[in-house]
Amino acid sequence: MSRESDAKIEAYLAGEAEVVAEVDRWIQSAARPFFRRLSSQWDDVLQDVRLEVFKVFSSGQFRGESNLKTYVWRVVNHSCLDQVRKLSRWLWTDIEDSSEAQEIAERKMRDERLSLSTTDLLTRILEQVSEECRKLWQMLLEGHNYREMSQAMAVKEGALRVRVLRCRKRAIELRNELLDGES
Amino acid sequence: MSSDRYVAERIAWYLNGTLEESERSEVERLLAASEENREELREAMEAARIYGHRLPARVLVDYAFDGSHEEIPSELIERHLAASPLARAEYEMVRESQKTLERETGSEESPARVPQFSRPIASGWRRLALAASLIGLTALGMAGWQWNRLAEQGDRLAEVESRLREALAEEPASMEAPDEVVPEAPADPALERRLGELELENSQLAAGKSDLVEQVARQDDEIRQLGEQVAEFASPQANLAVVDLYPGDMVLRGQPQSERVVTIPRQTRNVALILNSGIAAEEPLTGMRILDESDEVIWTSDERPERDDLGTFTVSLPVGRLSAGRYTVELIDEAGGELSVLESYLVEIR
Repeated sequence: MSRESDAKIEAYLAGEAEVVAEVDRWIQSAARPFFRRLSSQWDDVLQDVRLEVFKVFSSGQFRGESNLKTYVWRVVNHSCLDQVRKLSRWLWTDIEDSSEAQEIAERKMRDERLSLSTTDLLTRILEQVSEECRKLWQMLLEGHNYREMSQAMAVKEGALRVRVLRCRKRAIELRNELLDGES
Repeated sequence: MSSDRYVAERIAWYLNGTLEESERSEVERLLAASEENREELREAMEAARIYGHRLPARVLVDYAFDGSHEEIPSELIERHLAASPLARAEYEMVRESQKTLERETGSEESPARVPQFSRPIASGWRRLALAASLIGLTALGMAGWQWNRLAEQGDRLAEVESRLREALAEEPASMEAPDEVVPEAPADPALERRLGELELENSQLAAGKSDLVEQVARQDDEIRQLGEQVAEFASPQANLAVVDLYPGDMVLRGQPQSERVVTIPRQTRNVALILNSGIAAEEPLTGMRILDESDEVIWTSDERPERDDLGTFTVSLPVGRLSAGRYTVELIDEAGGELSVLESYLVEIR
C-alpha cells in the first residue's frame, strides 16, 4: 500500500474534515447511478455505504492492489448492489412454516456461493424461456402488483395472471428437463 | 373459479407482497386448506429463484471494472447478462459508475488491468480515419434494420462520435498527409485509452450491423413462409372436421364431465368445434379460450364470440393447433378484470 493511501486512510479514520469530505465525494459519485432504484431511501443508503467504507478501512482490508479511490468505488458498488437486492426481498422470508423457511434460506445461501453449475443451469433456463416471461417475472421481482403489470403490458388482469402462471410452469418444466438430461 | 386456480393465478403476487388485503387473506386461507395449493407456493418460489437468479455482487463489480472474473468464465457471465434482465440492469448501473470513475481519474491502474484493446494511436491522420469510419457507419443505408435496434445503435454512435470529437478537439490541428513522417506527440494515457475504446466500439458496431442484416434476412424468409401458409389455409378445402360439443355438468376441472372423443381424418386441415351453449343471451360473455391438458391456454379469442341462428358458437382451427390430446374449450367473462368461466367443454382429439 502506498504511503499516500495509508495516510489518507488514517486521516479518514481520525475524522479529518478535508479527507472525510473528499472520500464522501467519491462515495456520492460512485453511488449516483443507483439513485433511481434507491431514491426512496437514499439518505439511509448513503449512510450504510459510509459505514461500510469505514468498516473496510478500519479492518485493514485495503492492501494497495489498486489505488484507493478505485477501491472505494468498488466498495460503494458492492454496497449499493446489496441495497438494490434487499429491496426485492420476497415474502418468503416471513413464511410461518419454519421448515420451509429454513429450506429456502439454505437454498439462498447455496445460491450466493459461487456455483458455476448453478449459474450455468439457471442461465440456460433463462435463455430458453420467452422474452415475455423474463419481462413479466422481472416486473414481479421488482415488486409490481398485477394491476400495474396489466397496464404496463396492455393485457387484461385475468389474462396477465394466466400468462405469469404459464411462465412459471415453463421455467419449472425446463429446469426438470435440464436436470433429467444431466442425470 | 376453482380454489386451486384462484391460488395458482395469484401466488406470485402473494409472494411479492402486493396482493390486496382481501385477496391475501383468501390465498392464505386456501393455502392452509390444501396441500395442492401449498405445492403451488413451493413451485412459485422455485420459479422466482430461477427468474431472479443473479451473480454475486462481487462478480458483477469485478467484471465491470476488470473485464473478467477469476472464477467465472467471461462467456458464462455474458450469457447470464444477455438472458437476465435483472442482472443486466444491475450490471449497467455498475458500469455507469465505473465509467464515472474513469472520467474523473483518467485511471492510473497497473498494466495488468488495462483493457486489451488499448494501444497507442500514432498520427493525426489515423484519428481522422477513425472519425471518418464512425461518420460513414452512421451514414450507411438504414433500410432493413430493425427500428428498435436502430435507435439503440444510433444513440450509441452519437455518444461515440461525441467522445471522439472531444478527443480530437484536444489535439493539435496537424493534418499532414499519411506518407509524411510526423514526430510523435507525447502520449496522454487518458486520451490514448479513450481512443482505444472508441476503436473497439467502432468494430463492435460494425459487427453488430452485419448481425442485424442477417437477422432481417431470416425474418424476411419467415414472412415469406408464413405468407405461403396463409394462402394454403385461405383456399377452399375438402375434409373439414365438424365436432358438436355440449357443456359438462360442472365447471370444476378434474371433476367427471361428459367428454367428446373425436378421431380426425388424416387429410383434414381444419376442425370446426360447435359449442351447443346453454348460456342465456343476456349473460355477460367476453371471450372464448382453449386449454390443453396441462391447463395451459393455447388460444384466446380476439373478440366476443357471436351466436349463429341455432344459438351455437363456432370456432374453427387449423388441425395443427390441436394435436392428439385432451382439450377444454371455455366460454369466459373477463369484464371487470376477473376471469369467470361460464361454460366448459371437454374434447379428446385422436
